[in-house]
Amino acid sequence: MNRYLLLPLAVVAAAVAAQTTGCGTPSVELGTVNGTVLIDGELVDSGTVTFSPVVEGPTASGRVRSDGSYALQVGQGDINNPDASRVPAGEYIVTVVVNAPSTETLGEGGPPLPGPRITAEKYASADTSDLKRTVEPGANVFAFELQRAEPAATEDQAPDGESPDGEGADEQPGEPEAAAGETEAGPEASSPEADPTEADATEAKEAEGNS
Amino acid sequence: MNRKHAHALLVGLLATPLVGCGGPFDARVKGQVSLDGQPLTVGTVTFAPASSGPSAFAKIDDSGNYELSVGRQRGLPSGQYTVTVVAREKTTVQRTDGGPPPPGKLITPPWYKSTNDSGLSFTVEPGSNSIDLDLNTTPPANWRGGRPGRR
Repeated sequence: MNRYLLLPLAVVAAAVAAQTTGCGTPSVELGTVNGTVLIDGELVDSGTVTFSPVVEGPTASGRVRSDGSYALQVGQGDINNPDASRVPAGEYIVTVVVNAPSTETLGEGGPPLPGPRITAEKYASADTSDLKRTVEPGANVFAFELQRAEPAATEDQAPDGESPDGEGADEQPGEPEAAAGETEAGPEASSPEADPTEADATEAKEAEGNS
Repeated sequence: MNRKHAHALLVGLLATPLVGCGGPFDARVKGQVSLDGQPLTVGTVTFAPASSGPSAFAKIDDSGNYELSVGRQRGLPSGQYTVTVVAREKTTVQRTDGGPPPPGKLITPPWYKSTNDSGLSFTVEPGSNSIDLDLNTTPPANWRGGRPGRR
């Protein structure tokens, strides 16, 4: 009797197991996204990773932990298990900002200013970021190996092929951007709920484009 | 509970650890990192797969230990890996103009940055692995040394 029972039982068990393997429900195409951020081969210990949908949908983001890992969530995500938060499958442009630890505080006892950005400028904006990833239903892992923001542009990064003769010149193309980055990074760093507004902004932009 | 249920339960229990979103990887790796016999207490260890699959990473702790993760998940798929190690000094220079701090000086010899040159290759077996990384400052025979002409 054992022999006759075992096969059908195994088939049933396998079928049950198969149903529970997926992370997302098949009708809504969702996936979990986590991964790692490195600069020049070293794990970073802070920062923010943002996935902006290429077509439409919510923006997902996640903070980078001290071990260099991040996990994405949309809005509040899954409160009980943030790492299991799910993100719609699809194509995304990825922006990453990592700031050095803050060293100064505002005189009036305000919040500390963010430290200088240590990721290359291009990763900060969806318009300039060359990081694109496709989120598949199920579990996704994306590691990002980024270039450092160099105080003086290196040969590899000089955006306009400028000769290195301009060293020490004040009007380096990167400088005004770095200053602007302070305001840009401010709201992002202080409120994790910045995403919906960003999504709104994207939609607004699209609406403008259509009219 | 009759025999039938016992069977179902048994098969179900066996299947459980293999599925689900929690722990997708079949292997774990930890170990110690040393440079010329001294524990290396900063830096990052990268295990890059020889064929396909995700890379696994770990920060080296103050005692020179590391344990690999893929993203937020502990462990990694078993298989063949090439290992790189990068450690830099903490930057102490503070720039007053708000620009980014310069990168710290490289502690690890430069060939350990490259999967082609590191000379560190390991097979990760299913289950627990202990892999100590003994780095040294003597360049490998095939090291061409710093690529002249750059910078």
